[in-house]
Amino acid sequence: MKVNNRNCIFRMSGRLLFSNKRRNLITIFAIILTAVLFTSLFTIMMSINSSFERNNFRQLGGYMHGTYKQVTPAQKEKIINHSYIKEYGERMVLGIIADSSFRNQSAEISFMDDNTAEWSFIELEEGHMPAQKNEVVMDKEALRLLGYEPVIGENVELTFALIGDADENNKYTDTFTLAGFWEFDFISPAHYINVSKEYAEEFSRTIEKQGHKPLTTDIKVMLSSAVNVLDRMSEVFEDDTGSEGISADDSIKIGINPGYTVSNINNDEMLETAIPLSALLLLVIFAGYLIIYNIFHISVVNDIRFYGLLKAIGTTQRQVKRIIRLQALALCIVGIPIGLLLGYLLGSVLMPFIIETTNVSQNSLSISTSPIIFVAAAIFEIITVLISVSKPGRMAGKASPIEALRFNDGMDGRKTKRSTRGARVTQMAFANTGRNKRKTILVFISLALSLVILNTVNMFVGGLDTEKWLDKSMSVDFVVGKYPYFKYHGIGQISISEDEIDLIKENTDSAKGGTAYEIKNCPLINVSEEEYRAYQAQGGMTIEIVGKDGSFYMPYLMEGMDDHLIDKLNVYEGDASLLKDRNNRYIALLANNVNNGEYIPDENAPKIGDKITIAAATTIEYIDKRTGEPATYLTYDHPEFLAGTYSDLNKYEYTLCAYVDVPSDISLRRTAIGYNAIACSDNLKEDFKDNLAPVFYAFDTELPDAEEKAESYLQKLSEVNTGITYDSKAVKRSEFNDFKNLFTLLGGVLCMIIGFVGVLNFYNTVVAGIIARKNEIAVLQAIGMTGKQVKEMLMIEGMIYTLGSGLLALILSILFIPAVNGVANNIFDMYSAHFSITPILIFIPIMILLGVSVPLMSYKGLSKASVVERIREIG
Amino acid sequence: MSILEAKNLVKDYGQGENCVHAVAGINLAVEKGEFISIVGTSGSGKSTLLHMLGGLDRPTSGEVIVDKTPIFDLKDDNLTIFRRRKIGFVFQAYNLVPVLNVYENIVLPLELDGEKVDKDYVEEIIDTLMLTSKKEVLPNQLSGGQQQRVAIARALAFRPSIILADEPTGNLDSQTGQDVLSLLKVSADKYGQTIVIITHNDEIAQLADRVIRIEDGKIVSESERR
Ligand SMILES: Nc1ncnc2c1ncn2[C@@H]1O[C@H](COP(=O)(O)OP(=O)(O)O)[C@@H](O)[C@H]1O
Ligand SMILES: [Mg+2]
Repeated sequence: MKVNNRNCIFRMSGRLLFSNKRRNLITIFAIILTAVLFTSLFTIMMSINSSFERNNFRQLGGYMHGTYKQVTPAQKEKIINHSYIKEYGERMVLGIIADSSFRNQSAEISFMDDNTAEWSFIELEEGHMPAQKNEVVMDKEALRLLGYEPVIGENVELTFALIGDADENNKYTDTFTLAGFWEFDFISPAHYINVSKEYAEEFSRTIEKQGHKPLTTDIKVMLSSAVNVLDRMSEVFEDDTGSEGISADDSIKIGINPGYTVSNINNDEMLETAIPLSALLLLVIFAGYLIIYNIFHISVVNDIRFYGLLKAIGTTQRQVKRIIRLQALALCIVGIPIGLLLGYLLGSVLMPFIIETTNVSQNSLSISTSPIIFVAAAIFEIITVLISVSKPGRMAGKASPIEALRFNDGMDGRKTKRSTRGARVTQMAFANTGRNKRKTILVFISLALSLVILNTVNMFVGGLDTEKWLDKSMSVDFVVGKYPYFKYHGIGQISISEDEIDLIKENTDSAKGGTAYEIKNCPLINVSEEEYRAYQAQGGMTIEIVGKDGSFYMPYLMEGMDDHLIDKLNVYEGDASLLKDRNNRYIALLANNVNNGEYIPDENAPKIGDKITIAAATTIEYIDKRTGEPATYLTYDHPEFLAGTYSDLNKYEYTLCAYVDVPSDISLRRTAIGYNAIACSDNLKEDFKDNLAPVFYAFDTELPDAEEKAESYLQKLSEVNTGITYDSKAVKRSEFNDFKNLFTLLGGVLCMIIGFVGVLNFYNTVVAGIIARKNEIAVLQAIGMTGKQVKEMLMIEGMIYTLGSGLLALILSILFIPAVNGVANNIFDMYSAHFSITPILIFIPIMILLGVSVPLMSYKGLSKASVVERIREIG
Repeated sequence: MSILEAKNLVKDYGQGENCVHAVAGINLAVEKGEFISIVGTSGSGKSTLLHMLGGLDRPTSGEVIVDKTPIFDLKDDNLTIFRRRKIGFVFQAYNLVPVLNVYENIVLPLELDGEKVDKDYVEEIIDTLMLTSKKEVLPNQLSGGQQQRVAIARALAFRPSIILADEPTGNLDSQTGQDVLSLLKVSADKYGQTIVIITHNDEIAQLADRVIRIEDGKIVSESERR
């Protein structure tokens, strides 16, 4: 009966485990360290994913899996009773407010039940959902735009249109009582204004009487999971024809929430984060491998005769490997849970910093609680541990049974002769370190490397000059704009308004300030056909669109600037101050050919004094090139024949006055292929009128006091969810310090890992050396070397390693410092070259201590703790 | 019929000038139930021969046949398994597993094999070797003689047909040595086992059916008792 050979392997592994406490502590520490790294990596990866998802849901207005649109009562019964549907909610949309203040983000008047409200991110700050017929709830921003204060019980008058009503003037007005409100989420698609069910139903009857279609009900649903939502939602109605109350052509409209698919598949930004994270993952596996491998290697070397003995008794290679593996796994059981916990905490703490580097807004931050994090981290950890112990396991498995038996035999004479030749202890120590060259070099390199890295990181971080960087990166004290400008580098639907800028001006004590504008719709610049073709060839435009007169235009970017901003331009050629001329139209272009601050004029580019025609279009007429007739669906099958004409170009002639560079903090934060231009905002306003939208307001403060006040005002303003975001020297300073800290942290972890590996290698070498020379040492003692002298010899040996690598690090650092300064200067503008070797000087005494204590400890420990030693003592 | 047979057994250590012929062509046949002692000066190649007879080490050339199986044709792990079933080893340094108690040490070869422990038989051996009161004790709490008796019990646990012992009494005073050896002989007689023993002790050597003297890796003389 083959049953219990496992038991004895388990028993032996267990006993060995308890007889090896010191090794276990180090191993558990290493397992915790690597598990922390794995878990925090996975936490970060999953949290980035869930934050992206949450951000998507916020932009889409909800996180329900899908919606059945315009369902009949019979269909509703069918849906809510189906096994696929876990939860459902109802919504009836009454109408919409899309004019005046709601032009950018419209307001939808509807009835939502509690589920729908919850899934649409409605969390009342105060009050309750509409209960009485005329009660209403909405977000605070909608209230503000309507001209009301957020006070429960306030009477609110709403005027809205039916959705899809052709008659623009057909509006409904009613007065409601405010029952509750919440903070508006400025990235959501619309304002929600919710009324009671009773009101919605009565409204439906009213409009039906007037000859309109009655209101319809949408059913929002949650399934058991987000997988295959569309298929499963369709299947609810698949076996349908003939069932009571639902006819075959009562087809149902299904909308699924794209947030679930979009975020999971094909998200470029996720990929961008995933690749460096996978590289880190490999790094962690490697570091963990080096550490755990070393520990087990030492322990196997220590106990090699013991494993030989097991072989002699009849333990097979595989069984020996199992004994090693089981010990490692048992240590995992202790280390992994601790590592998972700490790693999860670390990941959660780091997430806000990481989200900051993506274009997901900070309040979409969602720390994932997915079990995948823990399962994956544990699996990776176990794999790492198994890989790490496989070689030591093989080594133990290969342990020679003969060696174990020969333990008490005499040694061969040659080695003894060699080490007794130099009678002096120091000489012997040097000779000993030279015995295994490969190992010695490895120890030197890993110890010295960690010190060099430590020194370099310290030098680098110390050289990062915050003020220097601020001077380079901030040409003004404050830049205030809306979220999309800073995050997406465009203004899209949401841009800061003149009203908001006025409000900021009123509340801050600015010495000088100015607003920047952008031509929003179809900004065009007149070019030659040649240039246009070149632009097309670059992939700038596939459909050919020309002016009515056949002239060529290409899109460009125009930044309109107030005078204060014009003053900040860096001029390469020409005179930018001409831009401020209100009587003439001047334009400046962004210099393209700038290399390391040196401007090389482009021969083909327009010259100073040239006239440049800029324009904007409102409509484009598309034609089929083959027929010259307006394009039909047939043309769209062959886009190469599609061509367009700008039908109403407003053209203006400007004179080129300068080639300039715009400081990045007051630029549009993106550039177009081809032309990027700057002109005076007043002139552009006169020419382009409403097509000119403010992008940001930038200002300088005179006194420190004013700067502080402006900072705290803007800080508060940006916390109220209006989408206003700002950049300032204070914000940059703290961002920069975060960067420095992150760098220090990463550098520190790297040093620690390499240092740990170095120390282990050192320990490994010393222990292995002492074991290998056991007999030799015994003979030395026999011929009259005192115990003290033996220890002295071992200590000198240790010092040769540690002090030697300390000095090596010192020399390398001194040699490298100029190079480090040079490289850092090249990469970072804000780096100030300097010289520092303090960390190495601090570490040299520690290295000496290490060099003395490790050999002593292992010499002492060896004669007591090692299992093999005990066998010998018994013998 | 011989249960253990060595044919042209050679074992070299090192290469070229430094080459040591530890065993230099030994032929030997041991009958079932025989008790053989091997004697010789230190470094004459006794241990090396014994290790190869038991399959602990592979020869440079030559064959060892145990119970009709040429053991060096077996792969490493299979050889180990074969060895622990057929051959019991007893060493000078008792080589007990320090983390396991006496009983666990004794049944270890059985458990390694996944064999169900035959409790009665093991108890009988323990009894024969007078270890009953020490079953739960760890090796380092035992005297040398006791430890060697545990090692013998371990060698017997699998009811091996062959017992190989390398100076089993070398670390014991002569009184204890005699004692241990007579126990070994008693149990071997009882279970019909073959014994090959290396010893320096003449008295012990004379207990054997056949004494083989080895020098420089070669058999120099064989003497039969009687
Ligand atoms: N692993 C080894 N490497 C080199 N020489 C060895 C090794 N093992 C044994 N020898 C040599 O082989 C010879 C025989 O050794 P051994 O069999 O131990 O002799 P005995 O047991 O009779 O004292 C000796 O000269 C010994 O030095
Ligand atoms: Mg010997």
